[in-house]
Amino acid sequence: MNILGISAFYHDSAAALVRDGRIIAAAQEERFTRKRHDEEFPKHAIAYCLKEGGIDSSRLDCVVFYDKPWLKFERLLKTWLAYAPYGLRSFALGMPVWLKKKLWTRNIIREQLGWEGDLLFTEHHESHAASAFYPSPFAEAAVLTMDGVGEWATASIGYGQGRKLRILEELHFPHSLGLLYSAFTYYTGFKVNSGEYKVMGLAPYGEPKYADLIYRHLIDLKEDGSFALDMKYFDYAAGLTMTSPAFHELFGGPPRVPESELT
Amino acid sequence: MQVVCEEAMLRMARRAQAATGSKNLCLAGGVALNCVGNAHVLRSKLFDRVWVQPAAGDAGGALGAALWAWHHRQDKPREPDGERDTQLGSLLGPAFSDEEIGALLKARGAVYRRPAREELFEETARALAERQVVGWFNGRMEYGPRALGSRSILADPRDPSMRTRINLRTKNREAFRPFAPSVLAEKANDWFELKEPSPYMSLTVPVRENRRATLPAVTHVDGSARLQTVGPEANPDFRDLLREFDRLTGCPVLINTSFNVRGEPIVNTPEEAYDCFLRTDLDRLVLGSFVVERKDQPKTGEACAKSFTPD
Repeated sequence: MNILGISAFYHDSAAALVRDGRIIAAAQEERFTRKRHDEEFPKHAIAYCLKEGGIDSSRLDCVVFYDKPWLKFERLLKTWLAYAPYGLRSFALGMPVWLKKKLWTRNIIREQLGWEGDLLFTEHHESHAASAFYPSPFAEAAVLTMDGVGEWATASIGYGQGRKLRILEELHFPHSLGLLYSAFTYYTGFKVNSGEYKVMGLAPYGEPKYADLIYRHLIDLKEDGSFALDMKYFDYAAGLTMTSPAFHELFGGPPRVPESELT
Repeated sequence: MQVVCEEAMLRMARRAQAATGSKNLCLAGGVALNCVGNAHVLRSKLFDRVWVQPAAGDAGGALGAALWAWHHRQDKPREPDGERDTQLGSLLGPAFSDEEIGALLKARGAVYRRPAREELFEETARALAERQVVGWFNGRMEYGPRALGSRSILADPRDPSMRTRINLRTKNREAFRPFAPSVLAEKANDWFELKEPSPYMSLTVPVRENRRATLPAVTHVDGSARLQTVGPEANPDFRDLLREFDRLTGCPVLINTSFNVRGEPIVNTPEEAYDCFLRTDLDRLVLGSFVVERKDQPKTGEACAKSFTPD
């Protein structure tokens, strides 16, 4: 049985081909289009996976997309309503791509692949959890996923046992460890969704002198690992940037200009 | 921020342990690319073992979705052996034959050689020991953000000037960015303090105190390194190169950084590797069985038409 997995339209589009449970091929679209973190429909990566598997799309048994665009859209709408009319500009900027592309994911897949068979959508954190558990050497394991945001979930705890994977608990948007980290990536003048690595690499050069400030104002971290962010310091829920003026005031200045000297 | 992130990861891991009672932990999602945080979770001893999906970011969702459909939805069994994962070293992308590579080099007018296999490893190891920076293109491309020995730039980790040279001159990126080491799995423990293999560079580990002065180019300011352990299965050629380097120098460690320049995705095809070689100061390019040396090339005025915006 040939199963094609697809991720697309957020960042780092990719495709993977699994045959009878074995991983045949997997690749990111950016490697073929030479556009870093390419988020377009991964047609080159898909073509490669099928070629590696020696098949064309008619020999697929099932196609799976890695998240649920409609649920994501619902989050966007609800978030916008909660902040309205503040987020109008970001809403207006974000809308066209949803109306033209993301909400039509089903049609796009069918059209691009000429695929009329079984088409499934997993939840974002379910996909992450599955990628962590199923290839692992473990018969059973706790599964922890953490990122920016999927549909609503920003982190999940699950349990994998044999062939089954259950998500037990989730943390929801806008409270996100990934987005909090990205806010600092943005504030320190690096590119969100790729410069996080540099922030981590720089961390040991400095001292954690802002940790107290972060705990006191930005994040209420509970003993059980759940947390709430104080959204007055962040702009990502409805705005166009990651951090808000209150954040800049708290840390004593505007974001660092990218490429300027590190101090 | 990093310490807050680590603390939050640790508390979530504690919660995951309490909720499941398991001694094994699997991690994914973009935050799981935070190898310092992962190491923190592993060191906490909450779990005996930790496995991190190498394509932890959104790209990995494609693989997860497909595997979920097979095991969870189709209800098909897994057969984990408790030791090895089924990710195949994450070498899941395209490979190119020597015929294809030879044809390309010929068409591009490169000056190249095709030494016998042992010679290839021997002379590449020697070049590395002589402080050459080598573009290494071999087998199937990596899935996920890290270069794991298929599309890698390799260099001698004993040379303190390597960090600056590769960052500034070869890859045109910030000088502070640390390099990751690859080490022969069976010798890893002599050089690094680690409890389990790290085949995907998803953990940082302390460099052993007595080795830090020997490995200046891969030891971070806090004495840590983001390590790849290279075992027998996934990438035999890369492993043989490490062995050869070890035999020559007594050091089973190489700098392993992704084969690209700043802002560019990792190279996929031999042609991209060759173009990258032309517009950087790599001393040598090993493409499958072929060797292309900088010193043999006619004056390299050939600039690559494409330029990449910094990341």
